[in-house]
Amino acid sequence: MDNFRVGIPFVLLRTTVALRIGQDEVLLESGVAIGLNQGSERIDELRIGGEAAVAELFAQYRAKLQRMVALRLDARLLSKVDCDDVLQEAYVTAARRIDEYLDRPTVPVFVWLRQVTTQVLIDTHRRYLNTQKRDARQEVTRFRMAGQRSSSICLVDHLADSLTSPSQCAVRQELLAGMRAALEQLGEMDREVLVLRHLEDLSNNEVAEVLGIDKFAASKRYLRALARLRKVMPDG
Amino acid sequence: MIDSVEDRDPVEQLADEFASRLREGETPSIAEYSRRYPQYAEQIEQLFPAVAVMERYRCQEESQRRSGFRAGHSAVPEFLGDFRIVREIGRGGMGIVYEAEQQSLARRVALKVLPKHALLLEKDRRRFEREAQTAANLHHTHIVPVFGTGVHDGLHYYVMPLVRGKSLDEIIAELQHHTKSSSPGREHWAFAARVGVQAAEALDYAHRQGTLHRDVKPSNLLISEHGEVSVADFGLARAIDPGDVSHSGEVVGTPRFVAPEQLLGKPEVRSDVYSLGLTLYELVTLRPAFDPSSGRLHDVVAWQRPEPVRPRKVNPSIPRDLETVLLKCLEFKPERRYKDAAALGEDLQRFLDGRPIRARHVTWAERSVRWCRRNPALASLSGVAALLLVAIVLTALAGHLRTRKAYEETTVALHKAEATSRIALEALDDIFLQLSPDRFWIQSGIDARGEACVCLGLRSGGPPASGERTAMQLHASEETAALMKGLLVCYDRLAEQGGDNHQVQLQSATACRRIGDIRQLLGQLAEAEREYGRAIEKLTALQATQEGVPLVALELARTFNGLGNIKSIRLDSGAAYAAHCKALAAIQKAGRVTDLPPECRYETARTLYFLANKATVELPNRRGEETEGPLVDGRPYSSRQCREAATNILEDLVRENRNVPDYQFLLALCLRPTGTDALSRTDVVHRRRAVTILEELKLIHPDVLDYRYELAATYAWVGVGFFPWQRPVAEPHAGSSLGMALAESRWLMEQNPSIPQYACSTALILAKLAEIRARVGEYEKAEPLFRQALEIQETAIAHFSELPRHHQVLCEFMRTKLAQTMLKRCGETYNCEPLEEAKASLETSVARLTQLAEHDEIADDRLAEAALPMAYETLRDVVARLQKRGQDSLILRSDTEARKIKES
Repeated sequence: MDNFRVGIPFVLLRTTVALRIGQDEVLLESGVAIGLNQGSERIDELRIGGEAAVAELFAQYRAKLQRMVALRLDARLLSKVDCDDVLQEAYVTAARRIDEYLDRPTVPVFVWLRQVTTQVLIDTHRRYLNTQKRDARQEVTRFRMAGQRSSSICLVDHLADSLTSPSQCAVRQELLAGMRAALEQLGEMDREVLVLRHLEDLSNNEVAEVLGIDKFAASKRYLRALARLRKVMPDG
Repeated sequence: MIDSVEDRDPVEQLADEFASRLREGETPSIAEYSRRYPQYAEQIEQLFPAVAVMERYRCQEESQRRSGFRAGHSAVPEFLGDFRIVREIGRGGMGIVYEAEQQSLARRVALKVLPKHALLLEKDRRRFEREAQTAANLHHTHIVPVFGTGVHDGLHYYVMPLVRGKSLDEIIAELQHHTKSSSPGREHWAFAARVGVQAAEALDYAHRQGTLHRDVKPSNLLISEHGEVSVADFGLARAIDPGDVSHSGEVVGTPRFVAPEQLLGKPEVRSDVYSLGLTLYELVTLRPAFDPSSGRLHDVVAWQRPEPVRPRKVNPSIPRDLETVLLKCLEFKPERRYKDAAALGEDLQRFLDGRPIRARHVTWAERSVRWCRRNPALASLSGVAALLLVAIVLTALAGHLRTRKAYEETTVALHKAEATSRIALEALDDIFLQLSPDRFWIQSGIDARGEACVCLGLRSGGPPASGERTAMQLHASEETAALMKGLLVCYDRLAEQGGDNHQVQLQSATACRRIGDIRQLLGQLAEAEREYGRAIEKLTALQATQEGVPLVALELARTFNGLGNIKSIRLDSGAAYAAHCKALAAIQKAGRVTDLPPECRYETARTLYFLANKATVELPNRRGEETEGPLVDGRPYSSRQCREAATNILEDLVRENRNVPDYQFLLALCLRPTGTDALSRTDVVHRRRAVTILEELKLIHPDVLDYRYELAATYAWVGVGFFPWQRPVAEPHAGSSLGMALAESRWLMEQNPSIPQYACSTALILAKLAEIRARVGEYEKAEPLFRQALEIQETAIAHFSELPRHHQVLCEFMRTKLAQTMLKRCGETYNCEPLEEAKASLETSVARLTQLAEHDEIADDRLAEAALPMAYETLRDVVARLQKRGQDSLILRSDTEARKIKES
């Protein structure tokens, strides 16, 4: 037990310093905690800075948002819409709705920006695919497995692959296929949690906010998803 | 600052840290985490592989996605030159195959479109064209020809004829699906062999043309409706001439099917033989040759290619010759394989024709010797570095390590002393476990008293003797002994390691314990005891600083248990008991059982099982000051409680880890009732469950003799009143249960004539069957059974001089039983012959028993005490009967004579 008591603060320091800069809830600089409610400071920043601050924040989270869009944008749209188009529109929407958010900031800034982007993504799907709103939402909120993409994009992906060695490519293809199959076997919630954590780079707390559950439940859910993945995942 | 600790599951935080380190390009090891946080070790080991896999997936997904987006918006071309794309047929690492229509010739063809990236450079394109040229020059019935190549919009493609049929991987998948209901039979083996013959012919042709295939695998073998094989995709092939290899050492092929030397960039003709062998292996067994579940995901050592699982282990009905052919293809060293594809094809044809094959069956011993030789760790520790290098190369090539940087870091880390010796230790342990006879290490719960049913634990009242085998002493074959001695040298070196590093100290202690195990196995008890002592010394010192670390506690418990077993062999029950108590105390220090990792829980259960067996033996020489008795939760436990506690732990373990046979096996042993008297309803249910578990184990591991042996023992677990102190229990199915036991035991005896215990158990089961008959008065059926039992027992004693004297007592006891039966069978008839025979054998028994009673070894033998008076008594009865007969006949004779006299 002693081990653990000594261990945890150390873990916290390391991970936080290395990775959590930019996380809303806990921000440590030089290993010192400066406040648990960073979100409110960001919001203050927004209040003072106006649109310029929105642009800055958006830039800060851009990489994450881009991942999210890339993961969820339907392959059929790729010839018509670019990932950047979606982000551009999301930024504009965010800037327009900033006051609305500042009046009632129920979630941290990043989660809000992600919500805005998700909405734009849904609208885009609806616009181009002529789907019902509900269906479009489902399509977007569900992580699109690469394997579900239409075969055309697969060809494009495949042929333009950046790797140079055919054997590496072969290995990768095999592993990818195996993982996709494994993920597909999971329940939607398990899959979503894993995608949020690993593919979208979200922290536990962000996952909690996005899913609207508390942090402990989010961490439990993640562990459960891992356990289920472990059962179905391909070896090697 | 720590407030978020309560908000999140601590394991999740660790997983998070682990994931981010992976993302940073580090290669943290799972073992490191479970070591640092032993209280979460189980969860860590269960979940972290999933984290690692997700992170790897993220990398792959990312690069694929990135490239996808960069490629812009080009869609599938509808036309490629002269060809109109009809539909996609399949895809693989080397491109996508389409069905297409060649407009100019109005014919259907298959197009294989290569990935753009494969041909970025001019020289790659030249190579591609040259290879296509080579492939186009291959004309063979069993090779899919190449019509030509083309390029359109920067997409390179091959043109091939459209083969109607299925690829072998589809066929395998279908068969896998089907075999859930019925298992494959002779037709399947013949089909596999025919596929092999044709593919080998094709490969041999190509080889003679100077072309290696380099990527033989099920999906590249196309099978037509008529069973004709076409080998496709010589697309990876390059000219054999090494000067031609532009990317020297670059590996082509699908890792799962690639030969070891090909992974090292040195493919040759026999690499294709290897890949074809693997392909056929999957077809025959419908399983991959290398059990993926046995490979620990992130353990470098696991990537060293293991020995393939023997096909007959997967499915015992696979013909032995076919197995031999497959294993010869899969030899690690190319020179041990078939010299070329033609030789393989020829042997498969011989198999098909029912002629003897050329390849020699490799025995178990040879295989392990070879395995050890292949493993440089055995030769010397410096060889470990070479082993690691191979392992690392394999790992890197298998796409496990994502970046070159990670690869280098791992190499550096692995060269550190700690890692090196850990891996060496693991490698050695692997060898050791492979060599040690069967389940020895679970089983060594020894009942040292060597009493009556040492061989089957059939005593009522007393504890079941479960470690029969050890009580009788193990017989390590000479080869095994020699190998074990080889291992000792390595372990010795590991044991000599010093220094302040706890890990190294622990390894050194583990090595000492292993030396003890090996010495014990070799029958060198004094040396074994000394080594165990050394290990205990080291571990106790370690424990002073590492209080409560499960691994240390585990090692200490294992060592104490080993020591206990030696004491048991030496018939010192008191000391054995004390040692097992210490083992229990050691492991209890690590924490609550339920919080411990599975190995620790298993060891706890094992210790409790030993204790349960010891606790009811009266311990005349138990020394109070040493023996505290097993304490569980601070209370002393009785034998029954020990057994129940062990059962509970094992039930959990089995539920959580379905695939660990050790857990199931020990559970079955624990479930067996303690005696055969007064079985309660639960006892009967438990015995039935033990039988079910063992039957299942036997089915899955037909090669493990101990499973069968214990199965026989469990079936024979009925009290029929054979021994004088046993009360016969009216069990309705005793007869049929003993019948099952007899079948198993007979099989063991016939398959392993060199192991005395199997003969002894068969004799005892026969005697018990005879007893049942005798009890219901069917003496004429009982007699031959007793005779058989006696005969087997006598032969065993004559053959194995090392059998404990107790077996001679048992033999004489059986003789007495036989005489008794004969006496009863004679009844009132006037046939004196059987009586004379009975008298003679009883005289022998009395003489031998009297002689035996002089030996110290027999001093407390319950059976000896009972047998001699019984033999005397029976002898007296027989003599009395004979005399009575004599008188009767005298009277008869005198009557007759009297009558004669009267008449005259």
